[in-house]
Amino acid sequence: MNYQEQLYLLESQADMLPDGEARLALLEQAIRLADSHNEQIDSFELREKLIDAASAAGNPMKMLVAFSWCLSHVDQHPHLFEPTRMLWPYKWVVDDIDSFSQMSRALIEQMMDDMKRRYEEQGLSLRPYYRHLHAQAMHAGQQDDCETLYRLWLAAPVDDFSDCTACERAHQVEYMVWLQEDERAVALAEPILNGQLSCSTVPHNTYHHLLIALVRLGRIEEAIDLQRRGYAKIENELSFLDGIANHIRFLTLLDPERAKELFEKHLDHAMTSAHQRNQFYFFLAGWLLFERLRRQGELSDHLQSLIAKTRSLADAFDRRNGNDYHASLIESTLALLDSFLSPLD
Amino acid sequence: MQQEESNYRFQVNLQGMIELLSGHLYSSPRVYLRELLQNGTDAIRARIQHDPDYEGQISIEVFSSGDGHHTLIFEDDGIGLSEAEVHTFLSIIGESSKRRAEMRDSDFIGRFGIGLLSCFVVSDEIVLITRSIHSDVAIEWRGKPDGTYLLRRLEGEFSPGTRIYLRSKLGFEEYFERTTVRDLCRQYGGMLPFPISLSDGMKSEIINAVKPPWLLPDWQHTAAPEAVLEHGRQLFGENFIDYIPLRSEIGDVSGIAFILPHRASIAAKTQHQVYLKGMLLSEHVENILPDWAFFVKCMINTNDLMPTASREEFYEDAKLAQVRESLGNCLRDYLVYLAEHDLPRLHKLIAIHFLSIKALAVQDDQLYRLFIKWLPFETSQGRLTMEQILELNTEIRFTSSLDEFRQISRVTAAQSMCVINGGYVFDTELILRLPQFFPQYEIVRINPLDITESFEELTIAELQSVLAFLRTADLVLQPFGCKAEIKKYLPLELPALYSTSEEATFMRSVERTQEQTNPLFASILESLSQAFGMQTPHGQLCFNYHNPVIAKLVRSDNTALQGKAVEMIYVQALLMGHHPLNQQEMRLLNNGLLHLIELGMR
Repeated sequence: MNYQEQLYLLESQADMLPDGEARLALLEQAIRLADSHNEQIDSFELREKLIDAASAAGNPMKMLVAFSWCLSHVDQHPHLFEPTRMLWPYKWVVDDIDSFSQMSRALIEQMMDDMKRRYEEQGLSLRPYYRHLHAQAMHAGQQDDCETLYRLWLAAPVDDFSDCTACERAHQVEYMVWLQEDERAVALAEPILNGQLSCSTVPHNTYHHLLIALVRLGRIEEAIDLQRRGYAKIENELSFLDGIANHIRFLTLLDPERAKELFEKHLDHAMTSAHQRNQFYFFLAGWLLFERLRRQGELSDHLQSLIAKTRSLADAFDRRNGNDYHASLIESTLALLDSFLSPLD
Repeated sequence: MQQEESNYRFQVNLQGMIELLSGHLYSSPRVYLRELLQNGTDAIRARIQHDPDYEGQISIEVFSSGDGHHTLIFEDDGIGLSEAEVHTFLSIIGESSKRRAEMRDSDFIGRFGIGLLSCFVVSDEIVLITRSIHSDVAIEWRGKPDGTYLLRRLEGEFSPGTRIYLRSKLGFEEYFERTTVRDLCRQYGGMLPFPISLSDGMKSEIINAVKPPWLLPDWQHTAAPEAVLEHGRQLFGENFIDYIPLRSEIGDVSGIAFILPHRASIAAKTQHQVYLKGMLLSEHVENILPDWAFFVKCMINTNDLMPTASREEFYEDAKLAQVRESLGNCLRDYLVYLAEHDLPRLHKLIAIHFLSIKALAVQDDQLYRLFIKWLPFETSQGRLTMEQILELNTEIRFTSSLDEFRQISRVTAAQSMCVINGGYVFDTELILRLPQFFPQYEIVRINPLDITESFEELTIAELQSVLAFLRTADLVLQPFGCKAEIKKYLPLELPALYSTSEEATFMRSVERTQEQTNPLFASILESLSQAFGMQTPHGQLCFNYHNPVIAKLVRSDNTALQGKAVEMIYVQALLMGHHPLNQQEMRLLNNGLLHLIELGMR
């Protein structure tokens, strides 16, 4: 088989597969083949494909490596590539960069500056830049920054590099839930819930974000409905591990047996995930689940290791961020058992 | 004095709205026919509500005028509109969410005002003549895209119903051609229960005279399978291999699933033709069957599901979830039936659609038990079914990635060891579930580094003779995070085998990217490799003592030559495993080649 045939075989096999590690492995192999034949264009385009696939498979590490290569390649070959070529996937990269607890604040800031500079140089709106700064502030529990950035994000003009209306709305809903502005969150979610706004990740995220808001509002029936519909949408999607965590957290309160099924089903993926933020939420939800069962007298081997894993991730994030937000998240999550369980039981 | 508040109404620029709509709400101009058929159907249904014995029909006429324009007349003998209704239905466009809630419970599928807007996409003017069954007067309504309309009462005798005249816009003539109109109406309304006639002045035909076989009562027992497949061929242009009846009480759904004659991609969603009360809703409905059903193409009619505003899919609600489950069960029951009663057909199906079945078996115990033995896997001994694998092995070995499999498939094959490539989608998951169903088997995940451990060791005497060589090799390989080994294995012609773990392969790619990227990203990647990096050495070069060249090389007393040879063998082994070279390894290759040439010229 010559180079073209081998490459075609690998790529077409990859195209047949759904997102996941198997697809990534085939693409990586195709990239190694192209690299070893010094086929620059193939190397570039296959990496672009890998960036998509890694994003969909919830693997920020592989995405970041391929992205680094492509971005530098665009810089080194300005006659071959549009300077905006990598600016769309840049959004996915900055969306995940803070999920590596080992990544220092300084490096994250440098990356955000680099993104900003590139958007400005191309005359693009900084809307995505502010949106992601806002998300990073939210992930790090920096509420004051969030308020400023939320304003800057929504005030920035919309252009071709902005997220779609559905995605933006879904992020607003997520933020309102985070602020515990539950009524507003549900109202903002209305066009998403009735199908007017949708895209490849909406309504998936909104369904699981709203679960806790509806619980706090006492609208349990609606939450149960959203849980069932929402889980079906992300059950086999690897990039929604944080969503799975939200489903487990919700089910822990209402149907711990079902929560256990979900936990067992997604545990392997969570253990091997390179996405530490999602891992943290998953382990924390698992902790909540087995803590609830422990209080009912059901002991599990999982509990101790989940506590250790959750704590170690929380420590790593808090150390990096210089606050105790993740530690407080652990507390407020476990407190759900006291505040919601007794009235519901 | 307080000023009186007044309510004013917004003026809407219809032309602008039409442009917005044609680019947004409607996927293609041809849907104007769908909207006309929907409105006509609603009108006839409304009349039947008044008079249950009424039968109703739709007639369409097309002709071209001398100036190149085409005209289409669309007529239904339904309930018709009164003057007041014309004002309400034809001049209020768009709907609020409140109205949509009302529509949920109604029996009607069209939305008159919005439907007519789609006609403005293909026609500059719409003329509508209508007479309500409740009135003796016929009304003529003339709508223009500037948002104005004229209305007048007509003299003379008109029978109840509605007639719509459209005149093709420049560039939209094709949508008025008789054959286009025929094909589209057949597609959109081929299942409607009343006749649709089409005429171009010379030829007239009923375009839905022949009903699809699966709409006939008790068709599963009466229809000839060949006729059903032929119907599928006409519809989708494919020679399907079989079909499965679909039925769900919930949502009042009936339909047919045709089994694709070729392998389908899991990634690309299969698109099904979905009808709502006999009218085609869309050819792109994705959410009505379960995800794993990518081996069928369906025609489905539902009388009780709610379409979204774009009318191209259904609201993702609890009812839809139940319909999806029922339809999934129809497909599943068919597969179970084949496994129990029709093995030849099952094998034919598996040969093409094993991926779908694997996807199902992963999540369904009964299907796992039924199908696992027929499913094909890639192994170091070629493609084998699980039954063949189980027959020959008590220990089921597999690699979890394609890459690992490629590293070892050649040597394991040479040693007639069966290793399954678990790198393909679902395969590892299926293998991991084996002991649950076949407790007598043990499953072992093979790591490429384990394989070399199973190779035959050298005798003590042999080992002593190669110690010096191994020391040299280790020194040469150490900067590359690789250690040297020597064992006896097949195939003979393989001088050395480079093996590494998946993680290490990935870290190699991180290092290579670091070399090529800008300083910011280099330091970002650096902090990643520090966090996740491997302990060196992460690779292993296992020389083959059986290989004649190696046998000679280890005995050579020229250490410098041995060193150079090891470098070259290392690079060759990397290239054979498709590991791209980093800068340092590239230099090895270049220098080594020159050195060998030099040696040869001495």
